[in-house]
Amino acid sequence: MLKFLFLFIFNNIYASKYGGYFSVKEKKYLEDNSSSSGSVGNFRIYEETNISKTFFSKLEGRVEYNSTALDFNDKYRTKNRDDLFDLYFGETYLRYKRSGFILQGGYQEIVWGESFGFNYADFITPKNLNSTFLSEADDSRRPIPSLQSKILIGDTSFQLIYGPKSEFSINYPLAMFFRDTFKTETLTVEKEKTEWFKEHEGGAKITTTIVGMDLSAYAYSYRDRVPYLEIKSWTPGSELIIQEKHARVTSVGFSFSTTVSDFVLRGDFLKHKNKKVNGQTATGIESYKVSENNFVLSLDTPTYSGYSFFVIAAMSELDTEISNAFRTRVQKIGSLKVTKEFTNKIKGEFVYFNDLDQKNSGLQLENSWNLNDQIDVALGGEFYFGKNTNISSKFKKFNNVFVKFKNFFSF
Amino acid sequence: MKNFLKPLIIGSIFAFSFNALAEMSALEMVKKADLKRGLGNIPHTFNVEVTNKNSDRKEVYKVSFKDINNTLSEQTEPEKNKGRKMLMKDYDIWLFTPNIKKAIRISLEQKLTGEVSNGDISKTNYAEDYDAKVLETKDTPQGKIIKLELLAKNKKVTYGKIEYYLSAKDYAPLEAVFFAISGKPLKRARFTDFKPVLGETRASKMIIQDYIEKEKESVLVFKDYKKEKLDENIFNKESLEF
Repeated sequence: MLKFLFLFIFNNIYASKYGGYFSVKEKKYLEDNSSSSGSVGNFRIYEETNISKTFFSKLEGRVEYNSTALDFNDKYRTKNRDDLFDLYFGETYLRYKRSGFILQGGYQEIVWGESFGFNYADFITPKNLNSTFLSEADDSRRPIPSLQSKILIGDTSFQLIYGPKSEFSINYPLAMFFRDTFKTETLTVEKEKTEWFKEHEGGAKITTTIVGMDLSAYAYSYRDRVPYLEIKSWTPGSELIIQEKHARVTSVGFSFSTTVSDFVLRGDFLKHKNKKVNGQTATGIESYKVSENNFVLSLDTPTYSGYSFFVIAAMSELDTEISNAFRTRVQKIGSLKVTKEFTNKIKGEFVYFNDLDQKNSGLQLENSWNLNDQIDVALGGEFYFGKNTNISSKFKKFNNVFVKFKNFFSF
Repeated sequence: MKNFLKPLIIGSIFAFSFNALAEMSALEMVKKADLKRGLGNIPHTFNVEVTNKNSDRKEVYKVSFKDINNTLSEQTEPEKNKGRKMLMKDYDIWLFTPNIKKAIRISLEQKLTGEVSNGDISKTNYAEDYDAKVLETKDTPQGKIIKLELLAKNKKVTYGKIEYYLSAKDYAPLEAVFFAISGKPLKRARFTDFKPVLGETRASKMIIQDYIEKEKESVLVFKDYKKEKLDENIFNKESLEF
């Protein structure tokens, strides 16, 4: 809180701009969960200051409420971090920028890769994974403390990133994974605590544009944002304490995008080494070290008569077969997104995706109204289909219809 | 044989020279008209305010124009679209939005998206992008008007064809009809509110109307022109997020 206050006072010495939004989403679940409805609320406020021609600062505070974990298990508890309510730094950094050189330090969101919406290469910045609606994926990021520099030479750039402290994603509700097991126990999840400068993260990216093609190659060493789980203690019928742990991972990748006629073709190829994934055994859960290869190819169209299309083919593959794993070894996903602008104020969005191996599918629909410059409202729903015996069908618990309200402000 | 060739060669030279002169003069007219809409093909910045008819909605863009191959527009209002940037560089276009957090390549066709296309906001030079020829000159109650036909030199240009109407008196732009590459008429624009800007009288307002749905109308107000030496690194897509 003191940090916020200090930065607020510092920024007020200079002429600053303020803005932000607050949003509320009310969900009605269509499956039998602990709660029949859920809520997600967000409040963000920022201050931006041009300190001089070369220095710029941004201070952002965020408040978030997400009931999802509790909706799936009313006996859910967390230690070290609250999955339900959080007050945290949004993008809060100081930037130095002069011709061809940028240095930026603070809490930042760093995104690599060429795909968007469904982006395997967006692995550096943690997320709230309870935001399952794909269109909200970009809003689910949580900035990490880091120092980055970028050198620009012609159409080429070199980026270096250093992270002094690891931060992690908010995981899916664990009740989703266990299905009928551990139904009677109070579930307590212990989040891993990290300290400043005890462990270090870092990586680099090189990007260039050659004859109409954007190319980038990158590598990053870090603590996996997604946890693997270990049972700390289990008293059948009473309590289960689970620890979320995070493996040290090295990721390397390559991305491209290019224009093909009126379309844009994008691709991301990524390898994560030394990840850990879980499998469920008769006596509990085990974790296994694996490498994971991810590929995504997408094609998007310009807007034709108000319609735009986005087709995605993606594959994620583990190098090891793990029995009763929380995920299948190979996931092949096909997806189609259609956006229709009915008027400049009304927009419809249809997203369909299919796990081609598991025969599970999902449908996300949203119709949004832009009431004025400040207010958007939306109605929609997310629906998942598949056999209950299938691990991917865990998402069926998320089936819901929703209404959403978002209000932007600036002063 | 020599007697047969001589008049042919002389005739061809005359015909070529006449055509070249006619084309050049049409192009000169467009160049003069360009200077009555913007500062021409020199590095400069300006702001554009866009309002739609029957709506209180206002969008504001800051445009950095280095030359016809390098333009950057950044939306500064309203709050929900603030920080959106579009970089046009030769045949490449990138869009940066604050939520996606990176510059993404988009199709050249996207420069036409929106009732007011991205090209309307950031491309004010027609002379560099289009070949021009005079179609006709006619007298009207407002004075003599020249009708020109502008044909796109390449695909990076916003429109396939423009019918452009200029005042014969000072080549001030009056009206334009924009066509897609396919030849379909898209919209009509009127240029108004001529004001002195940096030593030249220039149109500060462009009123764009959909060709079919005439009730769809947007007003673009161009202002705050500044000749400025622009750092070439702001036209690198990797700098859009900063």
